[in-house]
Amino acid sequence: MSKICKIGILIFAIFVAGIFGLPSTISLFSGQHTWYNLNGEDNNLPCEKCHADINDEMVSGDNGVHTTLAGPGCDCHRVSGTGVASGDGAGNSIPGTRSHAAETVACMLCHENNSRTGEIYPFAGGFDTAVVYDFPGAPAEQYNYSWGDGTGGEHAAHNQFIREAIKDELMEDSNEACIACHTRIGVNITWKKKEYLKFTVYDDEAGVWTISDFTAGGENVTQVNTSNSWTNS
Amino acid sequence: MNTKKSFFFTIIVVSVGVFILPNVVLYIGEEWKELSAPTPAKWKETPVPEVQYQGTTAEVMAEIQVSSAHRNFSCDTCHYSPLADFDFQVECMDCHGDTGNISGHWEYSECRNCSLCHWSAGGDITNYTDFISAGGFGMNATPFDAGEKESHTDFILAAMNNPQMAGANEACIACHTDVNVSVTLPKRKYMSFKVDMDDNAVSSFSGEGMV
Repeated sequence: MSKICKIGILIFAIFVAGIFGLPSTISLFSGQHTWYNLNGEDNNLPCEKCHADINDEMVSGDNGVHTTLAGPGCDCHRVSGTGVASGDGAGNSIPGTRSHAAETVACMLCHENNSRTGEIYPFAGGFDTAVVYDFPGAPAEQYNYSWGDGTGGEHAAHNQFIREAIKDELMEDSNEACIACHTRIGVNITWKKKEYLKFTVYDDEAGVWTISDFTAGGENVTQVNTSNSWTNS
Repeated sequence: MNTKKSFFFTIIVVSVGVFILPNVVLYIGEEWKELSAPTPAKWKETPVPEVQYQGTTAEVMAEIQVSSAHRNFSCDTCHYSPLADFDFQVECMDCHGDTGNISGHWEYSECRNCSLCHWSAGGDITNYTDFISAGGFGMNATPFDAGEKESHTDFILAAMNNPQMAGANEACIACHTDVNVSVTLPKRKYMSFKVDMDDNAVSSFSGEGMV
């Protein structure tokens, strides 16, 4: 093959690559230029594309509540009162503020007394707002754990549980407590408890008994592990 | 032809093939879908151009045409935009955030068709405040873009740090387009905490176990 022939073939190959090969590299993924229509009502992005696992939990037959709040709405994370981007209809979009697609919400956003969402949801009453937010550095944004007149929760055994959950930064507000009690996740609890009750008893000359100085003594540490009943493990 | 001349000739041909021809093809693919509508005084829906695309960009343009947002766009609307300093590797946030050359973009001839991006049914252009900002990530897309409660902030930051696409485009495209996603999401099985009856205190909330 002559040198001119070789050069001709080389030129042809480069032209072919330039025209047909290189332009195709402008798009990394098939479908990356097909944008979802955001003009419809409510949420128009399929959250379950990435979060199918959560959607499975939400719509499962064993799920007691919130089944209607699953995808594509994902209404918990986009409820009124959040700052997600919104707007129905072309040209009516409202940019997000505190969040864009999904907000990390406190369960109490919907379940506080007189929900600030403007909607009516079941009130998780029976706790005391003053007690659960009684700690240094309590957040300025507080939810209504008590009834409107400030009553409720005076004898709630879990007020401290709620308060410590609020203090902890693992989740929003007291979500740790809500999730631990109301969902099928497993819990591993280290209980540090007293072993015995100590008190003093004596009787006087008239046979009247006096019982006083009740205290708890001793120490026992018990580990309670409950399996995750969704994963059965 | 001696070796030196052949080498020099080959360099020229390679340069033409690599740098010029792809752009020629892009241009050919676009020249007959230019939107010549003048700047509208009122908002109106820009009709979808009913054209058949050919060449190597046909597949991409077909995707664009079945989309909602961007369906009236040419390749140049994004990939040769004054907002992105005419860079091909455009960030979505060049137009939808604060990374682009937003200020005064309407002065460029490429940006004279307002309704192409600020699409609205019958609205007055002088009244619009914000139509396309992707606010809510704390990225200064708007004056109210705090983003402190957004669930996907780490996703955005990881995408920004990934070199595969410009900016946070990986995240934008994963959520807003039809591309398939394959996600590995390790999660905790248990919530762990300690209860001390001495102090009536609950502490050390953490996640344990992996699914």
